[in-house]
Amino acid sequence: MQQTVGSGGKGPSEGQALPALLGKIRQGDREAMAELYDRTSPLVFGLALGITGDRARAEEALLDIYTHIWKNAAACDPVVPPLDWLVATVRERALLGQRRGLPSAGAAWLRPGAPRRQPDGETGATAAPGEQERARAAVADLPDAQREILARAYGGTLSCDEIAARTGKPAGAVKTLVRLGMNRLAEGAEEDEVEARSRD
Amino acid sequence: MKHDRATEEIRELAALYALGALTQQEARGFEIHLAEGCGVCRAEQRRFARAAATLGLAAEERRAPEYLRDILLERIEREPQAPDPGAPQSTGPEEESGRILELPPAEASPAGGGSGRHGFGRSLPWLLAAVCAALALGGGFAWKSARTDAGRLRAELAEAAEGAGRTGDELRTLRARSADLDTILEMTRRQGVQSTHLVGQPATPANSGMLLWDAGRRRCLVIASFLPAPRGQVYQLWFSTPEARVPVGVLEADAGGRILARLRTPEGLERALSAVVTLEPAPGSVSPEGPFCATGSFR
Ligand SMILES: [Zn+2]
Repeated sequence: MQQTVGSGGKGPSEGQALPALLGKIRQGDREAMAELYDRTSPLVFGLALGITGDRARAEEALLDIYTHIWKNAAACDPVVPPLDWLVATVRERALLGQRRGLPSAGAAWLRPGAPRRQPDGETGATAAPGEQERARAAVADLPDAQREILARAYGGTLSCDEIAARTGKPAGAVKTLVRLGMNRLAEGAEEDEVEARSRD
Repeated sequence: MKHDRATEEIRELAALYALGALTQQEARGFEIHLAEGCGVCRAEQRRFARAAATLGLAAEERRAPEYLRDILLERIEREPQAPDPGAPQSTGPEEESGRILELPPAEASPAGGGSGRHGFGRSLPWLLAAVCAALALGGGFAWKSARTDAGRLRAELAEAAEGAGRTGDELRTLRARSADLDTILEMTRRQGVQSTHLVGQPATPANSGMLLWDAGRRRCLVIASFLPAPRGQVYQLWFSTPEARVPVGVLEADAGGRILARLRTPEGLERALSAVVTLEPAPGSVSPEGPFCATGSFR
């Protein structure tokens, strides 16, 4: 898998694979925990900030998540890819404020026309630069109408009917846009996997 | 009923499920169907969980403040891993004052399976995190972490005050945090300050916090994260002595339920055994009438 190295830091090719890191963390390896943090915290913090739109809440989320990983490493042996699990966990945690009625930024990076911002110059190592770059490209390729609905769904806690009410679209149209957008992303992920396997 | 192929309808359901955009009832229905062993729907659910991960992976990376790394690393230095989340924690006499706040063993949420299930039962406010990290260290080392944080915050504040690129809100947040930490540090440096963990009750398990009490100076400090109080009601703190429950004061919370309250304690509380927080009609009661929302005991 071809991966670009994060500016000024170690790329995954130089570090250990995430499953191996998690395995060490399960055995109480604190250095592995620090490496996991260094590798993934820019993604975790960026994602939490992108959903909450609030630095304080994003910081809380970040501390909660890594403490959770450390304390419950033995119990966490996800069958899903570790990065997918991490991203889902961050989102879930970041949405907690909204479930309590606090305002949110609603996944601004997914909205149509959102600027493709370069990572902070000092960000250092990134979680999986190749995969993240492909994800950004896949989102950028989606039609605006699909992005708009997916941004609302991913960055919020609304049901499909509630999204329909907010956007003034019929619920059926919202469902279709979700299906088309998500299907396209799923197909893209499948193609990447096939390609990666053929390279191995 | 198991499906033999993926229809548009199945895909819609699975995609909405992966985004957590089904109603609870719909999500439960889909989960039951998956549990019944429909391979077609299981495959769609996995595909769309990957698609949802793509949405998250596309997020911009942002550098987290350096002090968070320190807090985390100091915390895991002392924090035991949980081989069995159900096992009771041992609390020796040394640990008792140190073990102030424990995160509940949060359930790992499977990727994309957000509907109706939350990976974390409660939010840990930043300030609590910092204080916990400090308290977990114990002994002469105890406040190094919090002091470091305070120093960093001050530096960050000075830098932010000069330079552009910070919003007014961010500046205010920084200033407030710096002041809060200073208050806590000042309080905890003193001899004879007692601390207790405020634990939520069965009806309010999400409530959590800590209380520092300087009996000599008759001051107490409460740092907590409670569910926001219902309209027209307030959280009120009481100290229980063998004779009575004595009102100490009302705990003002922000919109997110976070509390940082500095209160004066009445005289005659030397024999206080515990602290109790109840929910009372605003602006507070003379004797506790509302439900207990959190309690903590003094040694
Ligand atoms: Zn099915």
